[in-house]
Amino acid sequence: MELLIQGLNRWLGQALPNWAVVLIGMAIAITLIFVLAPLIFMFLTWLLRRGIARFADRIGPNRTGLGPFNKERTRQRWPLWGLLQPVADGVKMFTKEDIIPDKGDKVLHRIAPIAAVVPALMVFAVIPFGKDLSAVDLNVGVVYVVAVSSLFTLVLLVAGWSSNNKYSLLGAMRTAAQMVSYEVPMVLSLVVPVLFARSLSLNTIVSSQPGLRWYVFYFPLGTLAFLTYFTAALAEVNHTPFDLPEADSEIVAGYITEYSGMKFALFFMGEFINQFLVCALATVLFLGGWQGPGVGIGGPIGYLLSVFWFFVKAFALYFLFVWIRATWPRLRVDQLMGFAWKRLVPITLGNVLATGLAVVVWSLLRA
Amino acid sequence: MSRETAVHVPVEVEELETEPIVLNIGPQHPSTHGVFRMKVQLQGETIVALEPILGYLHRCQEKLAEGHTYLQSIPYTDRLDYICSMTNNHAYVLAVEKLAGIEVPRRAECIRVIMDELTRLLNHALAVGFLLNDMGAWLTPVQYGLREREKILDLFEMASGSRMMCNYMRFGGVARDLPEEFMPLLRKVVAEFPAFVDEYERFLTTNEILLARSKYVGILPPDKAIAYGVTGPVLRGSGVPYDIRKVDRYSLYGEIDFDVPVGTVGDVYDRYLVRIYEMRQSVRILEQAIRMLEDTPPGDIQSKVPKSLRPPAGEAYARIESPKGELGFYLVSDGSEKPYRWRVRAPSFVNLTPLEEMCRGHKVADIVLILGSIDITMAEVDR
Amino acid sequence: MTIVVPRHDEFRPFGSGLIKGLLVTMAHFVRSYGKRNLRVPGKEPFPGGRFGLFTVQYPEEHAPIPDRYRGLPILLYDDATGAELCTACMGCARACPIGIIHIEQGVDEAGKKIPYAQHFMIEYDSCLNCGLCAEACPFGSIVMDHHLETARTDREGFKVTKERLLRPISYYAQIAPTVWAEIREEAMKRLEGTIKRRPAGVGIVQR
Repeated sequence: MELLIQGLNRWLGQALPNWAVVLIGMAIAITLIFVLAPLIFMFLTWLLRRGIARFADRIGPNRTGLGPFNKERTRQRWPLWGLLQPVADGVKMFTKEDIIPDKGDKVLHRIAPIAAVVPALMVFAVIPFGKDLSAVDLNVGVVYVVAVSSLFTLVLLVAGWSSNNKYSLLGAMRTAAQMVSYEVPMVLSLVVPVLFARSLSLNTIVSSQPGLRWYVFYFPLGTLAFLTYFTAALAEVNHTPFDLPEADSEIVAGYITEYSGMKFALFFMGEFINQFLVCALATVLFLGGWQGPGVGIGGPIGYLLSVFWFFVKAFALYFLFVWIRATWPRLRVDQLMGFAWKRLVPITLGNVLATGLAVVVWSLLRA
Repeated sequence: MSRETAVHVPVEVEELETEPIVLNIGPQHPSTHGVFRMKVQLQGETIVALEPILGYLHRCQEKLAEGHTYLQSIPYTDRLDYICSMTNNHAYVLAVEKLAGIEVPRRAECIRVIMDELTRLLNHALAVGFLLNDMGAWLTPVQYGLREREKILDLFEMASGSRMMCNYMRFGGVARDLPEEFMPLLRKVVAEFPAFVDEYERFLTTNEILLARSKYVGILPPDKAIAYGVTGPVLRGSGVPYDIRKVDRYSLYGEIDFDVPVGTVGDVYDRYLVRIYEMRQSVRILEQAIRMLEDTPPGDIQSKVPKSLRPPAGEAYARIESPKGELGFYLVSDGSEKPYRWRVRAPSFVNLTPLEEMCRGHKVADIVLILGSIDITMAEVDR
Repeated sequence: MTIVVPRHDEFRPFGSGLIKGLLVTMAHFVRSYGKRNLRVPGKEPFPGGRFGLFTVQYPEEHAPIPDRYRGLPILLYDDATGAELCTACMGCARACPIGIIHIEQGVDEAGKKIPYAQHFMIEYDSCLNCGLCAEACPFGSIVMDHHLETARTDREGFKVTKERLLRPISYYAQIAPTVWAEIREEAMKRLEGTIKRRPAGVGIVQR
């Protein structure tokens, strides 16, 4: 952000007052996020569908793409591996009938899908996508991320309640219970890298992991924190094996049972972006963020490489999500809560305590 | 149990007293395996009462058959349990043969045993796959099961001309002898199947989530299972070694050596395991049946049966061990070419009766799991 | 005789089952980029094994159809003479479980019945594909087609009359050689007799 404003200043500084330059800079950053987030969402749905298909010995969507449109177009070469499938999905979603339950809370029913996307997009503001490439460098970035992303829970509760459907209500109740429980171990795991870096700023945390000194390799404390964070994050974004709020085989689709068309798609978007965000956050906090070979090179190459490494790591983590989704069954409500409170919370609490001790001892030794 | 006679669960804390909610699961629901409806009373997520409501797929099959000749009813048996049409055929022709006193050549019996066991393989591969699907493991396990089923369906198509609606067995034999290219492929399927079962076990049997979800869930004690008349893998999962192939020794099962796997607790996990182990036993049976088939002269597949069959007046009940349990046909003949009464003892229907017994006290998520472990086909339940 | 299934109650390190499962699916993921485990017509019906993509890309690729495949019933006529094999014996109409085969026997000028179907109609939309009609036909006239793509937008089009039912024998001999070989001799012998019993020019397909 600072970089952007500096550049704009150099370019427009003479013509415009300072506040206008800052405003233009903000507008550019917001536009970029608004473009980037749906693109990531589309790519993730494609990755999920193609990935799951391959795990199950299938091909997955391969009919949409920019291929030669002759009669035998798919015989030899699959056009672009169906990369345009999300676009086709989007078109389909737009053509669907928009259903609002008669007995539901109509206002809340309309608001919920919009509100589902907002917190997800807000988190994008602080994620460092590359070297010096974050929209805002908050010095309390971690706290901001946790605070904003937990809003999603509230939205799902609203969606489930406003639908006035028993399945939706069950789904919403499960969501609330699940997210409240898993927020605790997730935040406690996030404390570990924060203690290591002695900063709440995401940029500082990344720059304190140069080379391969990623916090996940700080055995055993960092590794354990990464594992617990990953597990809690799976639950936090309703992913298999903790996808109870939308368990299709039990409560149809949970809180989105009564949603159709683009509203349904918006919930999906919020969910997928949240999934990407927990991967991105794990990348930033444990896997060195944008650190990687070649980021030290000056000029645009270094910047591009840093972005490249960030996305490689984040999507690799998402692939792990897909892998798990293709393999494991789902837990039950009581088991889920038991796992959070009886296993994860004690482990993470102990981990935070040990990390704190280790950091203090280490600084004493150094001093 | 209707809403009026709701079981009121006493709540310990008086000021927190809540009313149970009534949830309709089905008839359109992703995991009711067809159009099945369960009226469930929930206290939180715990099941207080469950009322199964049937009949959404009733097609009047028993009455229809009374208007058809005996032969014309064979295609209708395909559509009872559309996953296992071969065993349905077998049970029906067995009943008619008993009624009319028809002998069956040995080669035809061998072919019938082979088809029955192939059906068992494909049904169990699907049953465990869909059980896992109900448990939430997206589509991978069921896809692996479908892949194996595909190979067996290819064999069925080769022999009978149709993949699912086989219409293959006839009174006194089978419709046609096996085609030339059938045997090598059958041997290949039989040889490759154990590897699939082993992989499946590696994939899921010791999966901690599956263990947590299925152990001690939906327990059906052996005495209750017998009282409800449950048969098949559900009964054997409860620890009762009752297998009609062993009890009746119909067809060639008297000469074939195989074991009956039984469970100990009678929960979902036991039923899952019993199906896995039955697949292994079916492979054993198939190996023996192939050897028996090779000793019989090709072409001798049909005994003499009059073109318009008029069994003597009387009644007959014949049953076989279908993959889902005891499948029986009860026929009453009045001496004409159409049956007077045509009745199916459908295993899916009988096995469904202890559903409430098994579900009460468990969570919503367990209903679909227990239902999946019973392995029903609604077409057979409603007929 | 009776084996008790093991319940795997023994101690295992937590997560070992989960990881074993992950490895199984990963093997399938990796090997799905290898050789396709595909059923291709002309080759054996399936290559076997558990790995590789096994889906058939339908409109472009077709799974092999075995000779005995039971599609919808069709009628045959002789290539050389154009004579229809059907003699309107009503065997198929009686065999059909749902009674969708409707036959009207032809008569000569004197009003005497001749072995020839004046009208022959099958309601394709109700067909069970059970093949009992083909089994009942002693003349080898009604056989099961291999054509799969029968969708239509009009209901009337499913009432298929003789013009659309008739196919040359060579067509059937090509799609189902083994099945035709079984019934060929009998069918041809009976056809000769049928032609003799028909007045000249009756039951000849106009091409």
